[in-house]
Amino acid sequence: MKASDSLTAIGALTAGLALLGAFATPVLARPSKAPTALVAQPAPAPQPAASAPMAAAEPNAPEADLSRPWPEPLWLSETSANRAGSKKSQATDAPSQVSDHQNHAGMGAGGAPMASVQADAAEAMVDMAGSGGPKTLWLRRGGDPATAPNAKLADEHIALRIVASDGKHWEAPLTQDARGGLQAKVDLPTLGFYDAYLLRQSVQGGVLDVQLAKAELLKGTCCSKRDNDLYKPAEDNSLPIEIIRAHGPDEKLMTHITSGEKAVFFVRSYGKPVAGAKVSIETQEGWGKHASTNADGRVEFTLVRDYFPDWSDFNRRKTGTFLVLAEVERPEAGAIDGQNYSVARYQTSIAGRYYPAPYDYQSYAYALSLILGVATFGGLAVWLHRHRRARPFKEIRFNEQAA
Amino acid sequence: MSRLLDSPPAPGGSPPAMGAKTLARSLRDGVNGVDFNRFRFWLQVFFFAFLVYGGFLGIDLGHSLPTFSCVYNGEGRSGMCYLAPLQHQLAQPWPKLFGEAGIAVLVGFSIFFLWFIALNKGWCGFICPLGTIQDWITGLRKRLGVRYSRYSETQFQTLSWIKYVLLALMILIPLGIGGGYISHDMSAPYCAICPARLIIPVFAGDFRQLVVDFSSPAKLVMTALGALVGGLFLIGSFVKKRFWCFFCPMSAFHYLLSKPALFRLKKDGDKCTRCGDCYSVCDLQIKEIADDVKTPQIMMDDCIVCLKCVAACPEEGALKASFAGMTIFESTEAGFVKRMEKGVRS
Repeated sequence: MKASDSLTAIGALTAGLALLGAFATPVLARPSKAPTALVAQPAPAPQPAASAPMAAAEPNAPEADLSRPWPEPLWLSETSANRAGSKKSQATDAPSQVSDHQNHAGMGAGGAPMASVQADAAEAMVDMAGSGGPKTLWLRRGGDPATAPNAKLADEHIALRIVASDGKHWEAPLTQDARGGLQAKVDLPTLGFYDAYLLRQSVQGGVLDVQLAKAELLKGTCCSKRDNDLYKPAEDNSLPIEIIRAHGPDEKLMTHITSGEKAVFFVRSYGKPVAGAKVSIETQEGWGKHASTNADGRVEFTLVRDYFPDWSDFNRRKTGTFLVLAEVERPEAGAIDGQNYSVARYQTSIAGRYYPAPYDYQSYAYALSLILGVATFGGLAVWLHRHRRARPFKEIRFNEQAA
Repeated sequence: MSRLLDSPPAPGGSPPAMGAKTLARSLRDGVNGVDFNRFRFWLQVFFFAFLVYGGFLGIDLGHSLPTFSCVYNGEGRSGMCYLAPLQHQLAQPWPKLFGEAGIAVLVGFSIFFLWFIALNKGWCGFICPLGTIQDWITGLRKRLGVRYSRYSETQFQTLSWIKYVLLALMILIPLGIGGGYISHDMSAPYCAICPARLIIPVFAGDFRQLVVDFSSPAKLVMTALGALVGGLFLIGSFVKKRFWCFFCPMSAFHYLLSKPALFRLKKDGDKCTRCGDCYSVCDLQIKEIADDVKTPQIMMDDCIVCLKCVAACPEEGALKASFAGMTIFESTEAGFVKRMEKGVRS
């Protein structure tokens, strides 16, 4: 390594650690607790390219124990593990118990026109009745969305960092629910997309583990003409790792991902694409797939159709959950809380919902057959009616003289 | 306008007042002698384009329009038919509906009412996109040389109740949903069968409503019923003028609220000769327009205030349209003759 490269690397490392330090401040003040919980704090300005943390390890860095497994994924879910149930076949039917507008004003999951246009009208209520109260997020641990329990962390004063698409950010504290799980209630002030983040890091065996749990939240409506900027996903370029769900060209504030559609994600570090990141997706029904990001940090998955009930049991609002995990391992030297590391592992997660595709339960053929059939037979009936009532012309002459 | 003409001349300047009087009379004669059918046709075209495509230009008139600016025409609509949000609001759980959400219901209704009283059922005769589509289908029938149908008096009296039944169901079913007695799949029951849901989005290139939904028995029944009504609408509008307006719950809703409306149709029975011209041009077959010589406020519940009766009346001032007490269009002999020469009977 050249001297100039070393200086650049050290500079980048310093900046990167400073940024991480900004997130870690409350925890780093308590050195006795390691591995540490890390509370999202107001982030510094986005880092330039030189601050990318993927710097090469220093020669005197400790030897990393790469045999140690990755930490269990942390992710944010709108559904508590207690509610979702532990059986895979018990996919989240709970939203079917609520009305359409309650269902739609939930976690953002889109990329395509909404699955059910009938729900358009229902969503009118979001605006008019002022519905869409605070959203509740549960912190869950584990890579299987069907079985992942609610996470229980010993750390106190943990908060989610909420970022709006216009860059405004604030905190939502995580509190324990009745069963000890961690949940946060998030108020979304205006229509649009929001991100919720929880960042944790720890050093063990010379390896830095950074976990970013992310949820995309949507306060949506179908029925108002809004600024297009509201349709953009929220991003935070100050994060060392982040996964972003790409929004479709037609995606508005009222969207659903449905089975059979493509879900596109980007993995970024400080706003820059991460190539070669290992990304996996797993659904609540147990389907999963692995892929790697391309040079643009892009990866896409097609959500399979995994809902095959009897017709009498079909629920068009059945909500499936998918969990996407992205992992990056890079040589990177540094120290946190007095513990050196030479390898950094970055792991980020995002969960979303998907619904049965409309093509599973809607038929154009039947509708058009009915419309055209009724119009045709109706027209025929009118014609026959008129034809039967028609009388041939018959001239009647009055003889006025005779009268 | 007539009142303007009757007002005393401005003090201190008789020549200008005379000029203004002459101008006003010319204007009045111009309005009363207008080629009414052409004027109405282009006004309908304008409002159709405005309501069906205005959304693409960012126009949004809100959620409480008293006309079928269909909610399912997602991007294109420039406002929303009030019946859709009303049904969804009424379907809220009762504690919520009769609590804080009731305020939203009242606000929505108030806005709807303000929109409505401005034009009364003129919303139907001049602005409603579904009404305009029916008039276009009627125009097609005329070009094809097919004669139109009329109801018998008995049929008229019987069918006239349907719109009130639909209005009652449109309110009661959502309330039943809110009370937990009826499935949510029955939400917005009138929208499910409204021909506007199927047809208006098609004009904006959206065919997603042309489906039968098999996801539940209720959805299946309602969407299939909607398709059936859609087919009936097409053939009905072809053989009967303003076929759907006769059954439209919005029309019934309008009539129930029409007392304080600013835009009115009036009849001076003393000037009426009961020639029946007004009845013969009436798309809705309202017999009272010709027979009733005692009621000044002649707008009946089926009336769409299209003003074709005014245009077809040969008697001076027998029929007139007024706004806030001011006559804006009235029947005149000169106007009748002028229009007859162009063929007012359509």
